[in-house]
Amino acid sequence: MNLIPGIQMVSSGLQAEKIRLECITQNIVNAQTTKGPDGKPYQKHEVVFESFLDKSQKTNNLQSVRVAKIKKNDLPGEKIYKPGHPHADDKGMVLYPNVKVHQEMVDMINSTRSFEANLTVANAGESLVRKTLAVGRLR
Amino acid sequence: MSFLNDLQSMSQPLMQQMGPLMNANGLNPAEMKDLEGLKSGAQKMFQSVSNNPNVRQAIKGITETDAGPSIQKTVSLTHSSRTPNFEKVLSTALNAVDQKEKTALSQVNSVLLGKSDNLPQAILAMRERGLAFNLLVEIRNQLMQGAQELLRLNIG
Repeated sequence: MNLIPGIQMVSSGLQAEKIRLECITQNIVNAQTTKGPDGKPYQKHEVVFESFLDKSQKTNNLQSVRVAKIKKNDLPGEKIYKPGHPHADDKGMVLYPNVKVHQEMVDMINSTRSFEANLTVANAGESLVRKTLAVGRLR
Repeated sequence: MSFLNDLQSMSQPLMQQMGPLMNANGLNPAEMKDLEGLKSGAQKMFQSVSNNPNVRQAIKGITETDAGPSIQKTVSLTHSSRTPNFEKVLSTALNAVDQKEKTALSQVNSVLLGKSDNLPQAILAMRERGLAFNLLVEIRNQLMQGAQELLRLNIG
């Protein structure tokens, strides 16, 4: 029994947006990381969403969302001449991550707004139920 | 079942108010202090009302004069096996709400204990649990209102 309409889907959306925001955070904090565990500069990560049929939602075929995978962006990063840098090659060039912080900021706004949209849906569903309950008190 | 206790403690003041009325109708308020007693009390009340010859006469009059035999099925006071048992319906609803409460609490617990990071789901479950409880209280209020209406009924 689902009292609030779409609550299962909303919570899956919120969870997915949360993971997306975490991924953006990871990109921003590593925007200057020139060496990762594999010895290469950090690469930008992007979340890929997919819809799926929730098992608990079997009555009506409504699809929730989840993070299918987090993929690496393979675009080359910037090369900057910094001879004294510990990660510089023999020509003094340092390979920086392919993260563009301004892009990440825009993605962050997008993610925040999506999260808010999901919350608005949840509130709308709850206010519908509350209004329905109030019908019983009308005299 | 903490939830059932809540419901019972909520009903008790109302029951005390209704005591004199119940005595007038041949019911024992002491029996009505818990849900089980409430149920049997309601059944007793229903039976005593339905066995009253005046009521039978009145219902017969209504069904024969006004709406004909079609309404007779809905007003029928004998217990039919085809109609869903009210006790069963109510206890199913109670269990569903109790289940929601338990799910919500376990989800919040697992978030607080760090077992899960699905905070949105836990919060939404809490809100849904509140709504389910409100729904139940609403149903209870309607039932009590109906019962009081019935006790206020002047027969004969």
